[in-house]
Amino acid sequence: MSVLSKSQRGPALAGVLIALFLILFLVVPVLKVIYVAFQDANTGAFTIINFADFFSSSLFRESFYNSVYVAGMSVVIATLIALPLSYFTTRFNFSGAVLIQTLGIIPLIMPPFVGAVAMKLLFGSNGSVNLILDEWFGINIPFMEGLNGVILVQSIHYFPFILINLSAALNNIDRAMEESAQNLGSHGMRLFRKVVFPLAMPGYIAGAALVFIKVFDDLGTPLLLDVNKMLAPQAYLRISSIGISDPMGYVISVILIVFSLLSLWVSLAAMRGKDYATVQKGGGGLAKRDLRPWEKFGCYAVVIFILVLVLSPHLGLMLLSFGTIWSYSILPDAYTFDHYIKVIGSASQYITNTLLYAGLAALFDVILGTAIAYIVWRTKLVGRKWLDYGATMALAVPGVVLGIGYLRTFYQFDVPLVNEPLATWWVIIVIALTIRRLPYALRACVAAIQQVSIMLEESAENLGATKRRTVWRIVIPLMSGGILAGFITSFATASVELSATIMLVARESDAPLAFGIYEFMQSAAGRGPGAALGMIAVVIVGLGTYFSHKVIERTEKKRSAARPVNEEA
Amino acid sequence: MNMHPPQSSDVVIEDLSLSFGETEVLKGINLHIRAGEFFSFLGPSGSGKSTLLRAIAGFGPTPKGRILIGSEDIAKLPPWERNVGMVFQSYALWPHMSVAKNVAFGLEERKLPRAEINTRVMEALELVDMAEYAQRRPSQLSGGQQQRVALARTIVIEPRVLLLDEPLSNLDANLRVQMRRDILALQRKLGLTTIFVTHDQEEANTTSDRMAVLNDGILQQVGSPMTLYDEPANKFVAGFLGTANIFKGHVETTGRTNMFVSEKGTKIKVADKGKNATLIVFRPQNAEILPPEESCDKDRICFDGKVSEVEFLGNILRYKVESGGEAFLVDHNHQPGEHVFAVSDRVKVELNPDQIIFLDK
Amino acid sequence: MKTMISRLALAGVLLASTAFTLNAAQALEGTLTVVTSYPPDTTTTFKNAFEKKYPGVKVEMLKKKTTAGIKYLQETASANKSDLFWASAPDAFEVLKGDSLLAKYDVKVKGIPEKVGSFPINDPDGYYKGFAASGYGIMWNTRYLKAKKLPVATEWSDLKKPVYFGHVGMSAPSRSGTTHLTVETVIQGMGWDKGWAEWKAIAGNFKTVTARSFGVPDGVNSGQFGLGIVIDFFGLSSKASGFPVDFAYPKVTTLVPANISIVKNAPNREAAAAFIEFLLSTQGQELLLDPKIMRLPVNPKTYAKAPAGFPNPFKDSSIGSAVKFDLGLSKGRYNVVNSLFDVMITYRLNELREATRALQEAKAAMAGKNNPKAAALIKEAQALIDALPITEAKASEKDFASIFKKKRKKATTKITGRQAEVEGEWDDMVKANYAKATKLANEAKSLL
Repeated sequence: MSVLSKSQRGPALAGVLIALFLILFLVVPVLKVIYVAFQDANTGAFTIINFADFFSSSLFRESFYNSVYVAGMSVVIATLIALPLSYFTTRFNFSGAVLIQTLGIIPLIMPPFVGAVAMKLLFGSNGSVNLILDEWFGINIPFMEGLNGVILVQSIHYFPFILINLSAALNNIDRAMEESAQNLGSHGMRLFRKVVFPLAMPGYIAGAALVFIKVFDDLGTPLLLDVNKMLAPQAYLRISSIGISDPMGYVISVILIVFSLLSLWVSLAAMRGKDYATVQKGGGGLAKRDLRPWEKFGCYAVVIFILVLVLSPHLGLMLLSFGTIWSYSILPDAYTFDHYIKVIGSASQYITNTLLYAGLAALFDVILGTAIAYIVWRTKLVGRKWLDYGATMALAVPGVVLGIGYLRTFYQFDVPLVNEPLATWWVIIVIALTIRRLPYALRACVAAIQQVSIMLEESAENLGATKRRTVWRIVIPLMSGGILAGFITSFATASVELSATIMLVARESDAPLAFGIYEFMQSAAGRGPGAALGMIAVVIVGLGTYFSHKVIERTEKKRSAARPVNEEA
Repeated sequence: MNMHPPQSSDVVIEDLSLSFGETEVLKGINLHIRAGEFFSFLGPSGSGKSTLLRAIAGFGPTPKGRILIGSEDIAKLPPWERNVGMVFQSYALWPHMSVAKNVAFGLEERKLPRAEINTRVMEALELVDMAEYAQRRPSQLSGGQQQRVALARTIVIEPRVLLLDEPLSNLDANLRVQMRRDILALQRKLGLTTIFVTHDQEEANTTSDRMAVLNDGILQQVGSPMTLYDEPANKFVAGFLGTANIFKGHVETTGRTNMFVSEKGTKIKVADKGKNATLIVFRPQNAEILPPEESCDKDRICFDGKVSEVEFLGNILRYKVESGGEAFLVDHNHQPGEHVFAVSDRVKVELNPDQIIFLDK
Repeated sequence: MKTMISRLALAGVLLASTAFTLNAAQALEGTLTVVTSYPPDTTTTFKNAFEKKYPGVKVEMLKKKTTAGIKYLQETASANKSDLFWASAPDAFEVLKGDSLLAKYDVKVKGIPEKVGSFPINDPDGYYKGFAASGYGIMWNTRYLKAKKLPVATEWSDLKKPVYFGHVGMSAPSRSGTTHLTVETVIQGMGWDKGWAEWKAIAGNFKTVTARSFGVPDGVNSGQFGLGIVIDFFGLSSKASGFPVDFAYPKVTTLVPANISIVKNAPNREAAAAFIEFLLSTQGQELLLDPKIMRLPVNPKTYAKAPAGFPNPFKDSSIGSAVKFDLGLSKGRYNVVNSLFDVMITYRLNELREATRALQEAKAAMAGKNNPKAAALIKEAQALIDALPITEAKASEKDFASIFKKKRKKATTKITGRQAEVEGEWDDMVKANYAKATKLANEAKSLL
């Protein structure tokens, strides 16, 4: 490498440190796990025969097909949920808009496996809905049977990814794009299908790809719904079976990772050169109009239906947390506060742990995210794009794979002073969460830095600020909205993470909320208290998210007030 | 050129008012635009000119009053049923469609047969010299080329009226002149009733048959560019079109003599037609600057004054002269070698009273 | 950080307390780390009681599923931090014993018998100790059975009846050590071929095979399915928690001890030993009768304090003594049985259900009629469903079983065949058989 200019030295050092971090805590552990897939179980020699076994087994082919089907259908259902919501809020002067935007985050702050428990009670073959349907019409709809259940739970949990991205994309469309189509005679659904939706496509694809990958990799939900014939459960069941070293579990892990990377790549390729929203001048989003009375009725009907559906896991959980016994009946037999009283003692430790882990992880994420965003977009360092790719790749690694990789890699390594293996020290949980949520924070930070005009930095340098001072005084303050948004997403989703932490929690006193809920839910008497703990988790994470939103809003408002008006003619 | 001449129509706006919430942005507009006319809406930012254009296209809040095209009131129709073609300031070409697809869009919405669509798209693109770019994406075109495609996309549907919303503002100066000539030529060729919104009076003057000046949501004056310049209806129009020296005051009539007395005390004798004036206006080029020792013609109005600013504009020298509390501009055609007055020089300014414009508002 | 501070504080308290107390029992100190598969209801009860008795000791319950717990102890053996392994299935302890991950210990408490049912309570080699007994049985939701007008099933063979189609749940033996024992018990009791046929006939009525053993009582409690094959304490504790459920032991069941063992190289061996003694003490045994726990104590005297109707295997000799369980046989084919169950039942449940339904309908149509052709078809279909890919002898063959083994003992150990390859072959056969059985049964039905 040639001698770096003085201003490049700081970023270069940071870049190398980040790269080392990613290699140590992402690449090495993952390789540690997946190399087994390429090992001959008998001789230990390198082989790809395991992959041949995978594709020649009809069980695995079916599992693969089921995973693709479930992930694909979840995208479809999530789209059906997200599309009307984002369309109504961006298109109409709709008093429910705030509600819908809040909705956008609520499903994400509940661990999907908790949602699955509640959904089974409501929509299962003998759940409340089917009991009512049976009583009234004598019918039974298999909402939760087999793959249906996974699709339903997953799309309800992950649709916000589409909602958030699609709403943002719709809001960025130049209004004239829509008006010119109307002017040429187009309107209604045709207008939406031919012009509006294609323009929002990049945002939609970004959200849809995320949903696809998350569902494809998710383990907890299919496992809780007793669906075994999918890739992630097959991998988990095979890796964690008693006394068996079946390389198939690892082969499946490799296939999960490869397929997720492929989806990421497809979504990136689909978006290349199509970032329409930022190309156009003006922006301002679609023209909003008032609803006619019957339209208002229709909109509210759709929104309320979706609302009820989306909030049903929360509703079910609440009933469960207040209910005494809920068995083969539409509603619990009676209501009580006992479950809350029971968990209140143990809850505080889980809550402290969760806030500590998720908070630290989100903090590290935005620091790393800001640094990577700066290095990628503002420096000319060799290989800088790889930092972005590397960090984003974490999306494609299932939590279980990362968890097992950490155990394998770091169990031998004793942390000085603490005198404990790194793999069982609570900090490893924070690191795992940091790695798992880094892609979210990174995207937010990249979006933020792209909105900071380079001229603002140049004028600071022109006035005598060094690169470092410029970053501190100009870049970071201007990025603060995006950084906070990244913090919230990382924090909220890290708070409910289970798949990696379940492998890494070494003692009860280190357990976060999601882990505690999972534990409680494993006994007959623990169902109510587990649900109560779940409600507490939802409320706390919800409040945290809400207040951070408030902070963002306030800073954004201040900023836009300070911004000179120079665009409107 | 095989374009079918579109069915152009008169556009009549009757008593049109429009509000954004509490703010009234158009106030009782009445206007008659004749079929085949190239008509401009001229006004400063916030005057309501774009809002008026968008109201004709059907965008924005529903206005009060009527908008007639031919004999049909379109004020309550949705945009897609109006058949008025609009070219947007940002061109609004859809980036996910090729040039040809963009142009074909309106025809597809009208469910024309594919063969006819193809023919008409190519005709329209040829009309704007863009046929060879048919398969390109909008992002691969220059600003001027995008402008042409936007025009083709609009005229291909044979609209009853063509609306142009500041279509030249995103182009650089040279291209702007070229484009406005091309647009005018096209409009003449098609005989299409065209409404052009601009804040640039040169653009309006060079293209328009007639134009309307708007300010603060109120229609100020309608007429040909020259009429508006020479006979502005009010102070706003006088000041907005070209440069004007305006004195405020009143006329004192003693016997047969009308004397305009400005607020600053300057007295100017005015003809009978200026009897009711509260403002008198004259253009800098209508006054002549003379050395102080020269005497004025006796049928001219004469001011003694002092130069306070000199601006060299290339073809002219523009002096600011202070006289009896008033300050006004005087232009002098620049000739190389001629004497140039300096700041603080005493001068005499001579004005032909026939060229004074009298206004009462 | 938090842990460090609390540990420092703890150390301070300990120093102070040891300085003033000379009581040997009270002098126990430090952290006791217990790897356990038990739910918090159980662990917290014992943790609190133990910590009350030994205030110097802080008990850390590390909750892992049995299988994950084994994995954890194996992965962490090189720098072991765990003191006790506390779980149900004896075979899990056998696996750990085989890997030399457990330590021997001699219990001081007196009054624990040799056997419960026909199963020895303690490991004959002295590594792990039984502290409670549990056996598999059938649990049902009373509201569910009433609403669907189903009779109560108390024997395994009841569950084969067509009325229970789609109403039964069970977890996979590969997921739960105790489920494995039940599967093995029935196979040992009825013989290899008949035993498997029995399981497939029952499984044909399954609604689901759960991935977690708690999934079964959870499903019965919430009414997702009506009957579940569960370990007794799941049934008893659910009932005690107020759910409208009940539980019964079938004749063929194995009462097996739930166990505890000190982990090799335990950092706090003294506290670990004290915990075992506590568990077996009168106080510890009585804690098992807590409504949230509901396990059969191994000290017969404790039953005096049990609620009415609580099963007592030391008095009621019908519980768990019908089968003489052969632990060696079970151990030799452990993974083969699990894998067979998964291939034939867990992963092909839909196909098996379809074949079973078709067969049940054909048989119902056949009732009281004489149609030799249909009878032959039904017989053939039944044989296809029952067919096994391997014989009993093959399952216990050392070379064959080692394909499913965790690790090669030596690099020179020659193994032919890979698990995925073998399972793939089985799967192809099973899938084809079920499909053909469905076809034949439908043919038979159309003849009637």
